[in-house]
Amino acid sequence: MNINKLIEIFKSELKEEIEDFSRTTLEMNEGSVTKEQLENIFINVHTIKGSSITLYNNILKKNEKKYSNIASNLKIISNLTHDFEDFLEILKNDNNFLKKEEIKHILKFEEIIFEIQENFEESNSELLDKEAKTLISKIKKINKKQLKRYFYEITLSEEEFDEEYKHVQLSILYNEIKNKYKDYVFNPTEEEVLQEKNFKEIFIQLNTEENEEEVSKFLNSREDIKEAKLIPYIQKPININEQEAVLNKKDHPNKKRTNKTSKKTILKIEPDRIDDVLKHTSQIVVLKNNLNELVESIHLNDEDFLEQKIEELKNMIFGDLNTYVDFLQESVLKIRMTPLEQLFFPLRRDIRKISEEYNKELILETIGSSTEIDKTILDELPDVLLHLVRNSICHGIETPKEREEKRKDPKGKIRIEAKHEKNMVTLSITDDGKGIDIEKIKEIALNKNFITKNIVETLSEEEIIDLIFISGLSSTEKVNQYSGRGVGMNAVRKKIENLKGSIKISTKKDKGTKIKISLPLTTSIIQAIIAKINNDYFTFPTTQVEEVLHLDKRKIKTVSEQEVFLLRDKEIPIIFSQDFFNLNNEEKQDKLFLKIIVLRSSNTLYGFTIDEYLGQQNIVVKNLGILSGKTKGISGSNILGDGSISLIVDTNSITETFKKTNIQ
Amino acid sequence: MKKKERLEEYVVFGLGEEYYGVKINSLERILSNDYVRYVPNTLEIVEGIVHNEEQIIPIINLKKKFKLKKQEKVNYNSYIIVYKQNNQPLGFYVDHLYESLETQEEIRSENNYIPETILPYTEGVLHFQKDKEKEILIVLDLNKISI
Repeated sequence: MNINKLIEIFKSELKEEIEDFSRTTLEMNEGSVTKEQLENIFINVHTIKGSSITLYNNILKKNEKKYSNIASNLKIISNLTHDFEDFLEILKNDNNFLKKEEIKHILKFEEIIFEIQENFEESNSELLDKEAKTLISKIKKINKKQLKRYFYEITLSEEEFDEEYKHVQLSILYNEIKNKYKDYVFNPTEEEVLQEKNFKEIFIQLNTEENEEEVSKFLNSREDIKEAKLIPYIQKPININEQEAVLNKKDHPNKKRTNKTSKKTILKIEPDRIDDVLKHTSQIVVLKNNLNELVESIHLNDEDFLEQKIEELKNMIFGDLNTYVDFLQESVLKIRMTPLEQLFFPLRRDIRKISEEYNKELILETIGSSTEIDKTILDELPDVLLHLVRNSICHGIETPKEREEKRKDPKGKIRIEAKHEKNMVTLSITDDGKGIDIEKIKEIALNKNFITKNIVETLSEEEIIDLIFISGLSSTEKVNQYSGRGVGMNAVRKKIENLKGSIKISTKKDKGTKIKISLPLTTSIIQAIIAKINNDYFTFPTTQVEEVLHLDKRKIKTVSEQEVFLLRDKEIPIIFSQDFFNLNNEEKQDKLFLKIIVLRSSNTLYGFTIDEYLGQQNIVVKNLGILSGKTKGISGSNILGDGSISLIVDTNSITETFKKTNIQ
Repeated sequence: MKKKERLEEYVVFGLGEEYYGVKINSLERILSNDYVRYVPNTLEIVEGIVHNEEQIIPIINLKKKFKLKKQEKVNYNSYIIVYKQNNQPLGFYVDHLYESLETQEEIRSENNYIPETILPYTEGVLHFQKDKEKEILIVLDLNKISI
């Protein structure tokens, strides 16, 4: 195998280990630390150490010049993991709760290793090396008690030749050791001994303050031990195989790895789902045969039976065929459904990092992580969610001190909740921070000339909040790595609306902010409203439609040349579809009522006129190919039952153009 | 006259009274008078879209693309030629579709009268015999014709 290949393998292993590591540390963040958790991360650290030393000693040492960056990164890793192991060892023995400081060290370790893993081929040694060294010196201070680890290879005395007696011997021995030492690892494990499993070698690991002599003396004075040989461990790190044999096999990460969800690019499908598709397909095949038979048996001359057969045919098509096709459609869609858990998990690390950066304390609560959504949609969401959460941390959640002054829990709370709601997935991000400062938004919008003073007075609170979706509006003075550029919310809304979803913000001063995102379950098949405009079909995704209504023309008001109407006391501007799409306005003007479809774009509602409402249906979205992105107000198309084409209206661009003409 | 070694087949069509041709292997299919859905708010040269075999195909008006001013209206009762542009289907109306042409003749690329509005999309011209009359057709390079 060539070196590059080995490096690749190491990298993926490192990635897996550190991901596993953070899985455990995330739980630590939210509660007390158990011994088991420490055990888990210990195994991760140990594996990283082992493989980094192997890679370095066996391969890179000879080619150090060529792979200087990687070699120095490996050195940092092996040094750090080495001392970190000792540190964890101490924590494991300390039965008290971990101190905040100690958890910080664990997280710092994770960060450094993660950083190295991300830029493994680059030379990031200087800064990271420094960070690693600081961390080492910090954790070494905690190492004061100096617990030592000893590894022994045990040979049992052979008084009896009965194989089974070995197990008895061993369990006696284990009990003796357990009485003396608190911290030990046995291989074979006690359980294995009880089950009388076969074993070849016996290894024990003891952690104690006693020195080597004392321990050896104790062990060698046991009746059942013929010889207890000390295996040098730390001094000979290259003997990785030996070390790995010592490790308690039950806890070995390799075992866990097999259950882990694998790379993102692969879609894992439960066999049940495929079976469903097959089941429904076979139903349709059977139906097809029945239909063929029936149609063949129809003779036009046979007047007596003709009516009966046609009735039968109708039943088959309207009853069975429709049901089966619906089932099939549903089961095919399910194949692509992926739980949102995949989205929440990596978010936790980012949240912790950001909150540390801002010195804010946070509790993250995620609800509904098993909610499923189409993989294509899911893949678009991480950036969106991260952005929103960043905003919450940077602008929403106050510092612990401020929070205490407001008599809030010093720890801020961010809650992400996902659930199914009428053929949609809603994702809400709620924080209990200070809320969006409406006056400040007004001020900035005015200063940056996004809006004139006259208009600002007329805007409702919701409409002002909506201003944050305009590109370039940012309410932080400082621009940093995470926020403050003000392009974000605009991009977020665009992304959501491209996915045929919608976003809505509500906020209350000092109580917090809630952002609610509604998304269709899939992008390929969506629920939509079909309408006619100028005798052509147009489609409106249901996720973006608030309602459809008839409006008495006399109720239309004109405000600064813009037609509006009142819907439950809210002013809704009307956009005339013929104007928007530059169609001939051939509709008769003498109608008393306008048909209006109310569209939602973030917090704002718009009325869009239609000529005829044709109802709701599930549609298969087809893109416009080479024309995509070159049609204002149209994002795709779908084929109706009679073969005609309906155009899917892009509500985003409608409201966008509307805003441009009104605000700027 | 230079001759090619093997026969090349061209699909010959008319825009107004003029003859145009494309190499037969450069096109996907020819659709007869189909239902074209008008698309508002898009480029001027786009006439609409058609749905064919689960694909949406945008249809353009070549006369508008080439700025042939004398007769911009296309014969909507004629045919649509469909080809792939960047792996995505694209079609255009033709006013007439003639018999295809098999010839060994080389395309003449040196000519100084083809206007700038069409020149970038052409490979040159070909002479061919039609109804005992010698006619000239412009050979188009479909790879270069996009929206």
